[in-house]
Amino acid sequence: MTTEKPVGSKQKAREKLKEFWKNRVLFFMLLPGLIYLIINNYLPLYGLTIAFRKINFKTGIFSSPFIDPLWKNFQFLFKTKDAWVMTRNTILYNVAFIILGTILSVFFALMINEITKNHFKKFYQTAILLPNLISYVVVSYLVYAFLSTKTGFINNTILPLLGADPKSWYANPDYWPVIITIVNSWKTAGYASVVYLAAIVGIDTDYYEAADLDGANRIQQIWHITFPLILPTIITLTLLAIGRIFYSDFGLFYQVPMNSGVLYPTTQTIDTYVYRGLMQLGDIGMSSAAGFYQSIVGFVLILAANTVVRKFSKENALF
Amino acid sequence: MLKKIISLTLVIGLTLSLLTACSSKDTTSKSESESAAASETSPDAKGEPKELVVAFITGSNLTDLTKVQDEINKITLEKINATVTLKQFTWANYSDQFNLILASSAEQLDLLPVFSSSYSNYVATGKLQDISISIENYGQGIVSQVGPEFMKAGQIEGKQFGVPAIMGWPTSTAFVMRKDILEQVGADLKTVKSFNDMTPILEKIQAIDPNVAPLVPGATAMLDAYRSFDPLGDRYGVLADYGQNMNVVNLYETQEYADLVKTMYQWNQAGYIMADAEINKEAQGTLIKNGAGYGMIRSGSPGAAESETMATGFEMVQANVVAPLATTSAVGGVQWGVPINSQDADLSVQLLNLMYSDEKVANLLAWGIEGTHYVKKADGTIGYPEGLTADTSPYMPNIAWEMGNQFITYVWEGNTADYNEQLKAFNKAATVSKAMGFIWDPTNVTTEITAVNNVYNQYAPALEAGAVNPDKTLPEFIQALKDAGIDKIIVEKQNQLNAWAQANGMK
Repeated sequence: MTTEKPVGSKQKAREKLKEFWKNRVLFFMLLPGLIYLIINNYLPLYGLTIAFRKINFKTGIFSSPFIDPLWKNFQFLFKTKDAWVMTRNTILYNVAFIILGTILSVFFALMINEITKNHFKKFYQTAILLPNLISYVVVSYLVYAFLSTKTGFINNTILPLLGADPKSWYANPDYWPVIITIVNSWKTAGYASVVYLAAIVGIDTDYYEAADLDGANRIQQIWHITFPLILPTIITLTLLAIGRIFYSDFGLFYQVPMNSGVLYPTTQTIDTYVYRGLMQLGDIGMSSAAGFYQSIVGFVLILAANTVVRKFSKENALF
Repeated sequence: MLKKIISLTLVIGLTLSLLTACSSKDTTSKSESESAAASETSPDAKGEPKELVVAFITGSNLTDLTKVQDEINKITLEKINATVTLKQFTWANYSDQFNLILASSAEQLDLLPVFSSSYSNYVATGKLQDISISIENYGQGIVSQVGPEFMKAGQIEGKQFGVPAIMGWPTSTAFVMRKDILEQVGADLKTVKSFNDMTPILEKIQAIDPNVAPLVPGATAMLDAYRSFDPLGDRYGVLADYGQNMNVVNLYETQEYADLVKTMYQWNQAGYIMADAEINKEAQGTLIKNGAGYGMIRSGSPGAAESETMATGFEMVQANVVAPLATTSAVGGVQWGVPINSQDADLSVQLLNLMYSDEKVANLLAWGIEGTHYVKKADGTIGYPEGLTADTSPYMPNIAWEMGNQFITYVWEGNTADYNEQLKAFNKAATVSKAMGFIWDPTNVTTEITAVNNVYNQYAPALEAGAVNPDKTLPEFIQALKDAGIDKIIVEKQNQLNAWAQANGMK
């Protein structure tokens, strides 16, 4: 029996090679994407060492000395009071965005799915996706048109209608969690809803017919058929979002509040803190340390979340 | 068949579009504010091209850049056996692009303008070459124009890494207002010597139209141009009293700052300052041009009013309220350095020497070709030739101050012919801070500086625009600064200043 093992493994290898050769065209099509992934995502990983060095441009990255102590470039992320405010802001906003974003996107996808006229369906899809394509610089001026103290739409039209006094929107940090969440939902709900819509469309209509025969109404059908079948998609998108929980959309938190200092307590995130703190210093080691910190946390969180999901439903986990 | 042709064409088209990204980054955006780089190529046995980067502020695009470049090359070929390639950058992204070029030493770059805020960082990270010897051998023209005392502004630990661009150096603060509005209310700026003197004038101006505030903000904090102190690089820890003592103090704890922000608050409450000033992103000139206000606070060197007249389209006059002060940051406001990308520092310094001492080269860079881009006028200034305006001129970078030696260039109309003489006198008359030549190294306190930067951005724009009540917010600001570690920065700065003073035989 011991003589069969080497033959067995060789045979397996040969079979795999045959499989590969049979599908060589498919693997070939994989190549550009793979090369791009390696060059763009894996090769630059060596740059992670920048976070631990004192970079000297004359000698290059690898000859630059290691900084002492090794974690010196990371200190600025933790040492001050501001540092905790920004971390709290980043996490809380992202949690709110994930929850609210998922609910809204699924809701929109379901609604669009209910529309029968193709014409209108396409119109709403485009309309909902459009905000996602507008740059945040433009969005910040749109918001300014609403919230400007003297000339804004809200202060001049809406509030007088409701009988309230004009407010100085950019001078009070308390309003901004709501404002930012609204702006973010407006901008990004469309993108995910298109993904969910694709998943919904992929559901076999036989299920719905069977449900009709059983006498289920529309709401029951949605709850018992649509939801469970798009759950994998929801889980995938949520897991990916969790991986980015320490990142924030720079445009959203820097441009939309018009870089107003008064609003920092509720609009400062890790990315804006690093940008504002290091713009002048130009310290590449410190900014690399910030990026390193964000990605390590995201990585750990994705692994943890994936393990949790795997415990509940193995087929829904990412890996 | 048709389908095959269409799909084949699409495939080819998409593949080609992938390759467009491979084109070099040398193509420039022709929009506002571009910088030019000049490179030299020696056609002899060396055959090395060198580049010089000059940052321009310009509202027009420089379509005739190559023509001007050719003219310059005629001179440089003859004098130093090299040619020049000018490279433009925009104000929006010059900093990023510089960093990219410096990081990849493969791309050629020979002369680079460095602003004082990044200067010590560039030197500390090895981005600039030590040109002390090159200056000694080939840069005597530069030294005689700049003056040995001011060459110090480019020295770190005795080594020369950059050369200050010559311009009106000292800082001074001024109110620059529309002349017609002043005449309308019967006010005269000549009586204004301080912020408080302005209050009655602002009141009268505000009465004209309650919806338009007299003062407009710029894109930075409103008191950013205020300099009765030596900022020692970054304003965190300054020498008060025009730098005449050597005690580093916290600017934001001084009585002077408290009084200033209180005045701004009173002005804001009375409606003398534009609404939402603290989040403004527009330039002061643009705001006045569009009627959002009538005046501004800005740096007050000679010609400030004339430059704003050009920017706003209204005639502007100025009143200086702070005496002129020469500091390292001011003198080293823009410095020319040789980056590590350069293969031949000696030749680069030779070109720099030409820029500083050769009138023809300086004028070509600053104003273009005589006859094509400008003509000499009777009063000794120069102006547009027939048929050209600010919008149509193919070469009007309008950054004479940046190109090296402004004093050997012609004076553009709008200023009096003796503008350069006025500037020279202004330079001479300024108080010189005792810390002239001191550039401090922040590497030991980078954590604190990061935190303090954020605190500054959080409080200063609002305080200085008078948008928040200083009685409540100024103590908060000071406390936040302390929490962020400004005292540590001040101690570090004081130690470095003392060491520098001793090394230079002062005190």
